Amino acid sequence: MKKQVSRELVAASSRPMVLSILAGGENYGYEILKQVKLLSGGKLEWSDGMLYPVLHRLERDGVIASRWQLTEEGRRRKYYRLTGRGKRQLAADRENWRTVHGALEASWGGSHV
Amino acid sequence: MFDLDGEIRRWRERQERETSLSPRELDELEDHLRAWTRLELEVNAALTPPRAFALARQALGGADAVSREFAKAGKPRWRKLLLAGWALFGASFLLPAFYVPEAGLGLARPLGIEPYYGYEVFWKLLVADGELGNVLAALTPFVAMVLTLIPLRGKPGTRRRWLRYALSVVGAGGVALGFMVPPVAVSQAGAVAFMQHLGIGFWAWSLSFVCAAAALWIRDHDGASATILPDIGALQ
Repeated sequence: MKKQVSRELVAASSRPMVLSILAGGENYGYEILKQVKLLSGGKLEWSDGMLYPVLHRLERDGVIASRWQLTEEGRRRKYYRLTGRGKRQLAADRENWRTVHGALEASWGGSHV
Repeated sequence: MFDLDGEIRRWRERQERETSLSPRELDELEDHLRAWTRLELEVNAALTPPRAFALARQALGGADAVSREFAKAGKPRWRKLLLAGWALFGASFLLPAFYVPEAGLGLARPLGIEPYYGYEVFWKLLVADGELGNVLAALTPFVAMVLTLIPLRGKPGTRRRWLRYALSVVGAGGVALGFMVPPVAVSQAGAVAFMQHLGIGFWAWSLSFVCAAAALWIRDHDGASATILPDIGALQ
């Protein structure tokens, strides 16, 4: 059975996760969700309803921007992209998470926890 | 035969009834349901369209769950602007609205000035010489501001467009009037100083309407169903 990451950790990592995915190019909600599942091997379980409020909050913070576009089927779809501020935020988040990861790795080094 | 458009329409109607999500937010969730259903059908041949749609709906969660998640995203910016408008409106009653030359000293070179606070102006408009004054002038701005509280409940839309316009006219008119009123010469302790007729309370009062109008405009603009402008280049 696959062990899921705790809800708190999922929430804390939501911003760097979305920003990292959008660093790869413009994308829309459903695809972002698929990418999260793919990148985490299904261990980061985001509920579908959770994604959009996260995206809206990031948009309000100015780290991502959006535009509506017509799909091939002629339907409206909202695409998100990284802003300049978002790129700086992603760099800072990456640094912070590496620090946390490094500290934990060092503390576990050789202890076989 | 399964009618996805009909199912989506019924789902949307239910969300409109049971959640406070804006048409634009529902547009996005609708696209999510469609993408989920279509792509799951593509990768899973054993899945039937009704089952795929049911799974998509289940993954998104019920109306309560969706509302809860959206509430976590925090208050939208228009609420903060409306709050600022109300704060300014309230403060305007406690601040000097006008500076009036002291009685009997003449308007050309008055020797002193007397501040009139917002609440005094309101009261003087409402009650003039012990009788009922210009009730309409006193209460209309007050009622207009109270009406801005109605959108706090209910959905964004264009039904109250007139209120946006009315608030904009009052606010912009007040600000314009403030800039048009010339300063009055005031002599203090032998030296001539210049003092505006209008006090900070007047500016706060005018700006409160500008803030409220902007809040309603942003609310309706951000919440309305998405419109996509045609690609001008493609049309030419």
